[in-house]
Amino acid sequence: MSTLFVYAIVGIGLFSIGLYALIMQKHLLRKLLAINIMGSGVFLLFVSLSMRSVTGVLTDPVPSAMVITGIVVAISATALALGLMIKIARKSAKAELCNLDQE
Amino acid sequence: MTRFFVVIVVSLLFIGVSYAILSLPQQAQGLSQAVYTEMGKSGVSNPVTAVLMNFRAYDTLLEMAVLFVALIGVYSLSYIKKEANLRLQSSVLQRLGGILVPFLLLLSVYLLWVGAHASGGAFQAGSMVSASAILMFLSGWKFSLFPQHTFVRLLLSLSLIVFLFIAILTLYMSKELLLLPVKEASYFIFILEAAATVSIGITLFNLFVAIFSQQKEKK
Repeated sequence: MSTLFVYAIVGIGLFSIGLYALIMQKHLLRKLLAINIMGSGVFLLFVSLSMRSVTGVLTDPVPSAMVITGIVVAISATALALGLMIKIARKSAKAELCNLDQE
Repeated sequence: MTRFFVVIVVSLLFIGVSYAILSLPQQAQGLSQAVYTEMGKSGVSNPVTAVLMNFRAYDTLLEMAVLFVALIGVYSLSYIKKEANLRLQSSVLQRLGGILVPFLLLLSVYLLWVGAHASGGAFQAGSMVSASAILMFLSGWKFSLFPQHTFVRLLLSLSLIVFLFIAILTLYMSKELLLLPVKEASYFIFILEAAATVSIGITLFNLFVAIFSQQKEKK
């Protein structure tokens, strides 16, 4: 098993930790951080899988390019989500999504 | 109880995806062969830049649109004060900013230039620009990169405008959207990258400032 599969496993691990936190945490900022960690896991997995080329020198450039765009999109999406979160926190005095039955 | 189920589901997911990844072939070509055979026509020698700005330029165009829409979204959510008292007070920060910012800006230009043949390019250079702008902003420098000015609005939408213009131009020249002509491809790519650097840098800076001033205001 080569090292890049270690990176791939770490990426899956980050994704799983992020998913767990996304489900379990109530605070929206923590949920947002969890989504970012999941995204980092996906990026790591994607880039590590692009390195399994035949010669080892010519790595596949398409996943790298897509991850670069993905990182910038993730930053801007995080900023938008933070803006929404602050709006919710201002309206309801807590940064959580309330349950429907609690009103 | 919920925690128990979530742990089980997440670890099952982890095991399943890991198994799927480990059962992939150890060596795969992916699209590298297709990219490297077309590299001569791309106008640059860095394959990542070639993919970003030439082969998948449509992707990058839409990505610029995403950045732009995200900034509009943040602004429509928040009301920005022009002069907020949100500077960080630190003499170390001010001195260090004065030393670092010129180097960071120089480094971003270098990153933009080197992207043609090595690691680097518009995205790295743009984030460097935004980082130095944030550093200047936090150390209390007087400068205005906020979208109350028409000029800054123009800079924010510069990459989208340039991308659309080149898309129409290539549609006219080679009858296909964003199919850069082989001879002039390097010029087109440089124009696209420079515009993208400016727009990414200022957009990320403005996203930061919008969120940052919101949080301080809450107190």
